Amino acid sequence: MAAPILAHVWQFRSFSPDTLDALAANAVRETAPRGSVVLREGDAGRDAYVVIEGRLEVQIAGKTGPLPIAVLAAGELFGEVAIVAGSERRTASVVALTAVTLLRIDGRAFAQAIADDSHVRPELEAAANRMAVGRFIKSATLLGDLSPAAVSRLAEAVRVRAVAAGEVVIRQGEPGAECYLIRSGDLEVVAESDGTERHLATLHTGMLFGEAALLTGAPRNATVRAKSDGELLVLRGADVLAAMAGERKLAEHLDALMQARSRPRQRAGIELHERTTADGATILTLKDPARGKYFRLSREGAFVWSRLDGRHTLRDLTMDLFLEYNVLAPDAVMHIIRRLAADDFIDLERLDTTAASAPSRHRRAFTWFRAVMEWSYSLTGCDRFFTALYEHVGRYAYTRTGFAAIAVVAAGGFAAFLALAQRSAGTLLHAATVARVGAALVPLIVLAIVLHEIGHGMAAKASGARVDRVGLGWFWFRIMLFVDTSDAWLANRQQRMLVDAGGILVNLVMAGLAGYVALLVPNLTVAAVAWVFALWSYVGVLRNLNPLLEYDGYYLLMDALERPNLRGKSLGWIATGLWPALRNGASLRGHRFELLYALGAVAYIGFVVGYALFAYRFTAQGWVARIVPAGTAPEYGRLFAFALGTLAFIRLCNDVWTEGARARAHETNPNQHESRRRRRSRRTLP
Amino acid sequence: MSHDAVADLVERYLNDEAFRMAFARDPEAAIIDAGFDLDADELAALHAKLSSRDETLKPRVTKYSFGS
Repeated sequence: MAAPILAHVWQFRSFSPDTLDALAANAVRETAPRGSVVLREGDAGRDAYVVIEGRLEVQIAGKTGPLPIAVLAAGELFGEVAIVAGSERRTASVVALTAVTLLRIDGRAFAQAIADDSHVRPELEAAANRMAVGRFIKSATLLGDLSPAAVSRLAEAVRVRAVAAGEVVIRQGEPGAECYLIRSGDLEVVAESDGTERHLATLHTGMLFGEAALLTGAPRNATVRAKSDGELLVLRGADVLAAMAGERKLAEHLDALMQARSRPRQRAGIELHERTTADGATILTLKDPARGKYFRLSREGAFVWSRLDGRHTLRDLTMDLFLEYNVLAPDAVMHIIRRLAADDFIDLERLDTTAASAPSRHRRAFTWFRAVMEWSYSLTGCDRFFTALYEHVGRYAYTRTGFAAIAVVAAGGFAAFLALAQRSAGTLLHAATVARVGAALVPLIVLAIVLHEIGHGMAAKASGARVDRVGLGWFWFRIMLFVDTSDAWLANRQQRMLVDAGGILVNLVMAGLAGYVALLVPNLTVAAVAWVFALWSYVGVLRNLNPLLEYDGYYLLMDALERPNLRGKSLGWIATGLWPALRNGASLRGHRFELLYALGAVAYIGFVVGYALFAYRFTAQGWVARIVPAGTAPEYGRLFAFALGTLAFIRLCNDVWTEGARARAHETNPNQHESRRRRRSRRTLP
Repeated sequence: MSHDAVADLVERYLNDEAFRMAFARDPEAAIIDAGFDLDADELAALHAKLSSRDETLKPRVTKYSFGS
C-alpha cells in the first residue's frame, strides 16, 4: 500500500522497486488533527514523512514568534533534512494546517536507502540546502514578511557567493542588477570622491545591500568590500521585483532601507522663512512657491534641512545633530527625512510602493466617495488681482480709521437689527410678500459670499501674504466659493487670525448696513429684504464660527492655540492613538485637545439632528402636513433629521479615516514620538 | 571625544531593520541587547527632549457656502 505513494515522491524517482518496497516495509500511516505539531524545531528525531493528504506549514522560530517558510501538500517529503545533514535535531517545526494523513518512514531505513542510491543524495542535499537558504531568508528581518511561496521561489533562485577578506563585491559607479544578503561575515561600505574614500557603514550578517541601484536603475552609489571571509546570497533584480510585486511589505521595507541609506538633497526653489512668535520662539517654515506647499520645521528639523546637500547621509545628519545639539535621535532624523520626502521638499531615492499593490476596494470606494462629495474648480494666478484691489480699496479698511468705521457700522447696524426685530420685524415680513423678498435676497447672498472671500483676500494682503488661488466647488451638498490663503502660514499669529476673520468682518459690515437700511428706509419691502438679509448674515457668521467644521472659526481656533492642523491631528489621533491608549491604560492627559475636539465633533452631530427637528417643526411641517396623510408630517421630520445626522456621521467617519490613513502613512506621529521620548526619559540604563 | 559607540549605534540603526524595530519599541532595551556601551552624556542625549514641530502645513482654504 505504501510503495505506490512513495513512488510518487519526486525525490524518490531514482529508487528501485526493491528500495521502495524496503522503505514501505518500514513506513506507517499516521493521522494528525489540524493545528497539531508534527515536528518541533530542536527536538530529537530522524524519521521522514510523506504527506498523503492535507496541508502543513514549515516554521522556524523568530524573535517575535514562529515564521512560516514553506507550505507542504500531498506528495511532498519533509523531515529528511536531519538525515541528510547527519543531525539528530529538527531544524524547523512542521504544523498541520488541516487534518493530515502522513506516511512516516523510519529514519534508519531512509538513511540506508540514501546510502544505497548515488543519485538521490545530491538531490536531497540540494533540497535541504534550499530549505536552509529559505530559512535564512525568512530569518532576515527585511524579508521576514515574505509569504512561504515567495520564500521558496527566492530560495530556488538565489546563488551563493563566497567572498574573501578585502574582495570588492560592488564598485561605485558601476551598473547593478543584483543585491546581496549577507549570510556570514562583515562588509564595509565606502564612498569614493576625488580619489579619497569615506567610510559610510559596516554591514553584518542578515543585512541586505546593493538594493538601490537594482531598484532605481542608477549606478552603484558606493563601494562595498568584505572585511572578513564570508558568504553572500545573491538575489537577481528580476527575482526581487517579482517578489515585490506580490509582497507589499517587502516593497515598504526596501523603501525604508533605501531612505535610511540615502543622501537627500533639497529640491530647487524651496524657500525658508523665519519668524518670531510673541513668546520669542523662532518658527521656520519651508515654502514651495511652485506647488503652494508649506512645511513647518522644528529647531532640529531646520538644522537637518540646512545639511541636505546630497552629500550627507542620514548617518552624517544624525551625528551632526548629536554633536551640535547633544540630541541622539536617529528615529527623529529619519522621521524628518520621511516627511520632507513624502511632500517632495527633498530629492530622495524612493520606491513607488503604490505600484506594488493595487488599492483596496474600501480605499477606492472612499476615494470615489470623497471625490463626489468634495469637488472643486480653481483659478490660479489671481494674486495680482487681489494686490491691485487691496492697493486701490482694501488698504483703507486696514487702518485705525478703517477699523473704527467697521466697528461703528457693525455695532450700530446690529443694534438697529435688534431694535427692528423687537418692534416691527413681524410687521415688515407680513407687509412684503415672500416672493419679493426671496427674489431680492438671492443676488444679495451671492454678493455677500463673493465679498466674504474677497474679505479674506484683503486681510491676507494686509498681512503680506499672497493669494494665489480662488475657486468654487461642491462641498457636502453645498455650493461654495473659496480662497486659498495658505501663504498666511508665513505670517504671525495675529496676522493669521486677521486673515481668518477677514470674511466675517465683511459679513458683519454688510449685515450692519442692512440693519440701518431696514431701520431707516420707509419702503416696507426694501426694509424687509434688508432685515432678512441681516438675519441671514448673522446666522452665517455664527455658523462660520463653528470650530468643528473647516470654516473660519476652525482657523481662528487653530491659530489662537498655535496648533497647526488641529482637526487633522485630532481626528488622526482618534483613528490611530485612542484605542491603543485606552487598551494600554495610558494617560489621555497629553491628548486633551484631541479628545475635546472629537467629543465636540460627536456633539455637533447631535446638534445637527436637534436643529433639523426644530427647524422642520417651525418651518416646513405645516407645508408638509398639507400633502401627506394626516398625522404623518412629524414622522417626515424625524426622517429628515435622521438623514442629516447620518450624513454628518458619515462625514466625520470619512475625516477620521482619511486623517488616520495620513497619520499611519507618516509612520510616526510626532506626538507619539514625543511621548515615547518622554516615557523613556524616566527610565535609566543599568 | 570620539563617540564611537554613538556612531556604531547610528550605523546599526540605519542599516539593520531588526534593530530599528527593536529601537522603536524600546530604545534602551535595544541598545543593551545590541551591546552598545554609551556613556552618561550619550545616554542623556538619547533622552533629550525634541520640539517635534516638523509637519506638513495643510492648505488654508477659507470657504463660504450658499447654505450658510
